[in-house]
Amino acid sequence: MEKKKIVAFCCENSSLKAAEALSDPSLLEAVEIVALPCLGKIEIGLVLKCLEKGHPGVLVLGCPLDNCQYLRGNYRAVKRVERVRQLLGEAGLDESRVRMDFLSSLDSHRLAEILQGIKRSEA
Amino acid sequence: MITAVQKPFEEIYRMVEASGKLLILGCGTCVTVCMAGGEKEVGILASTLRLACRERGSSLEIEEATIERQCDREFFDPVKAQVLGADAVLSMACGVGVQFCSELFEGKRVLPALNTRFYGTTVQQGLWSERCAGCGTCVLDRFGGVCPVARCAKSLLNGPCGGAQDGKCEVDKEIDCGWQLIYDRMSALGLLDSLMEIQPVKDWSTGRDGGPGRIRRQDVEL
Amino acid sequence: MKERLCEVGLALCGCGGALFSAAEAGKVLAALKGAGVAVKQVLLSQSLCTAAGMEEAVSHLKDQGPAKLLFAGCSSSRRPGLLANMAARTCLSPGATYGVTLRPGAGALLHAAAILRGLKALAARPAFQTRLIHLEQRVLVVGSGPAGLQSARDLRALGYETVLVDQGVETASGSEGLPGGLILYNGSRLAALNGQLGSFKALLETPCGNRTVSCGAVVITCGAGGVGRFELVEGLLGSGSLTDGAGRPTGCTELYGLPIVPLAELAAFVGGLPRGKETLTVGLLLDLVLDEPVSSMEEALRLGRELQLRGPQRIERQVYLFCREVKVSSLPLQGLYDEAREAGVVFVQVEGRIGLEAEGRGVAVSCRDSVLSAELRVLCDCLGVSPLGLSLAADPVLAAGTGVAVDGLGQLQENNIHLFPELTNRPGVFVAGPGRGQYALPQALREARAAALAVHRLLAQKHLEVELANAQVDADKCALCLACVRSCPFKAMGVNREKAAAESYPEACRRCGLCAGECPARAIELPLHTDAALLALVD
Repeated sequence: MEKKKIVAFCCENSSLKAAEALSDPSLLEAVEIVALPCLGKIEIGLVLKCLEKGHPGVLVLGCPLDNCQYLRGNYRAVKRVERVRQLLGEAGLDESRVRMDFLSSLDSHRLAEILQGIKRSEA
Repeated sequence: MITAVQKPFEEIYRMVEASGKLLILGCGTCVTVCMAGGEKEVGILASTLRLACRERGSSLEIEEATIERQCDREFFDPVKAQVLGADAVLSMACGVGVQFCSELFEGKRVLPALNTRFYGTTVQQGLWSERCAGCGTCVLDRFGGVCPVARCAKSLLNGPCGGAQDGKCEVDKEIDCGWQLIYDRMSALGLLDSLMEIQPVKDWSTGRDGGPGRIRRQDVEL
Repeated sequence: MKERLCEVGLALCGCGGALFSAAEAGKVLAALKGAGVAVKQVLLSQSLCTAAGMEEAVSHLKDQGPAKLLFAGCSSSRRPGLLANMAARTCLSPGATYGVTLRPGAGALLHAAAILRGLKALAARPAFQTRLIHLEQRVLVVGSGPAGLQSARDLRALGYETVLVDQGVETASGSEGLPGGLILYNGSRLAALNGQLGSFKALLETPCGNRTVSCGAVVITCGAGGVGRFELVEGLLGSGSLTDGAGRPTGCTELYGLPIVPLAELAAFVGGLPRGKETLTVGLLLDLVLDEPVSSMEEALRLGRELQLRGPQRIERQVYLFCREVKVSSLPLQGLYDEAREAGVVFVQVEGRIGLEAEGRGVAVSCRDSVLSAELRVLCDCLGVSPLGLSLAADPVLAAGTGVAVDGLGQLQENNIHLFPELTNRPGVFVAGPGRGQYALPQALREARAAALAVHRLLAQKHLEVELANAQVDADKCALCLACVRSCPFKAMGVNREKAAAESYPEACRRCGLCAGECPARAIELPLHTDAALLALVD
């Protein structure tokens, strides 16, 4: 069975654009990208489902705070990610399996760093 | 509405771990509104439990369902088969729902996922506050709409104790002194004098005492 | 799938050769064919974003008449305005278009792959019905100060019925400032704004009772309203006019009954102070946290130097200039700064909160000097402040009634770059000048004009064709907990009393999905990103 990858929830307005502009697109093979109109759409249940289905981790990538095109989506996402990490901790699992980071559409190099980090840790 | 909070995860886990097949049953009314036991929370708890079980090597099988209310029998019809097929039901309703489910399905182990707290109001998104104690003899007309039973920590009926400071209760600085609220409200209404009436000792048998309450309406009975 | 792909028209732009040259376009199409897709209706261009290029494309596409349209080109192809424009002119609904960005240097194969992804996405996109929203050609402007009047003037000139509302009994600029054809409600306030863009119902509380005004858009320009409502120090509010030693009004505006005046009036005020003291301490306060324009620093430096040097004989003056950072990025400013320092002006670089309190007949300025790392307290005989440095909270009733979110300083615009300069969280409600904390007149007027133009951009089309792809609420599951209504940043959610459930308004819904994430009953779905689709992606 194919090994499951980390799921990267990417907001269409920032991280997805950064992903499209990567100088080395092969880095994207390290993750499973799921595009969302805004991180405000992230649901705690969906993140947990990813882990349930065997994905090793979830990465939530969106616009820097106060830069959200829909004004508050990333703020809500921060709270939801915090809750998921708390739930993981309570269940006895590793909280760091779910992470959040902030990127603008121009931050391809940062995205590359993040993806390289993932590749390295899986090697 | 009735408000409740989820029990700590470990407590829930210990309750359910021995069951082979578990049905987590949510409720679509009060506990949905206070974000504790609706369909979303059912999904979250189910996923968390499955992850924990996998981690701890438990072979617990978990199913999920949510019905409109767990305090009226008809709403259980769509999930009857699932309830009967489960070894245990983890009800995410308030204490009423947990018990009613238990009554309807004799012999079925029904477990509470929530701690039922109080009758309260949504002060703002994410903040709920107690307002009513269900004493059964409402005297809100005498206190300007502020309940001394629910909002005074000692349920005093004839004025404040000496412990309030800056309008806050001595029990907890976050709590407003109920009697300060009553005083302010009655002053604003121009009814301060009526507070001088002595309230008699309360008959608690309509609420907190005298056994489980019962209401009968013969005109409505079919 | 192949049949459906063929109903899609393709507009391919090489971006002036940056993506591919005219000759290479053939390679892209060949690569597409190689992937098994033969797009029948193709438009090739090198300049789709120009007016001429657009005209050519529109006439070409009108002939071909595709049911759906895919743009592939530079990042302009994903700009909603471009797509909507093209859709409108080729009689397609906005949802029948899609943009794909091609990367420079990617080569024909990768371009083809990107186009194929776009074609599939477009073909798979469900067709939504549309609703035509009528846009009322009337605008409500709140506040009749210079900014409000500027907006109103511009809007009238553009042909809109304009209604002005002001709390004051007289308009700030007197009656000469009023353009013709304007309806003005004096002594009135906007109490509530119901409805959505294009069909707002504004509830006005006027001296003659409540009035409801229907309008397509609203421009809010009023701020705290007058100098008297500044709040520098808790508990000190009020204003009055200053009298000199002989009891005659000096014509200077005084704040809080303290010798604090706007910078512009400081020189006159100092001149009018009763003589008798040996040393006069004059303070100049700039709070650059609010990013004042360079002009404030310039004004303060000139003033400081003047006041320091030009005292009458036998009276020593000491000028203190309090600011958060000394902006001397330009040469002239550097020169002014040097001159001021040579003249003897003391610069205090402040961090944290600045406190002002009455002491004797003067005002004591308490602050932390970031250079000395020490608490400082300077007793000034008078203090000049730049109005920009004052915490000016907008009317909270206005904020609550209009559903416009305030920022940390209480101003009617959230601190989000996507809103700057004239947008608010509520579609159809715009803000300019003092409403968003802009008291510098040239900037405020410019913003007022920008707001008028933004209204025009919205209302000029007279109707809005809105795709019904807004958030959908399952009425059976909805418990009316109101989480979505409260959490929608755009106030696009309301309660449908008949269905006894929440519902979103398609003209305002931005389809961000925030509501779906908040709903405790999982009753909300975004048609374009269904739960099933997302779950499938995760599997």
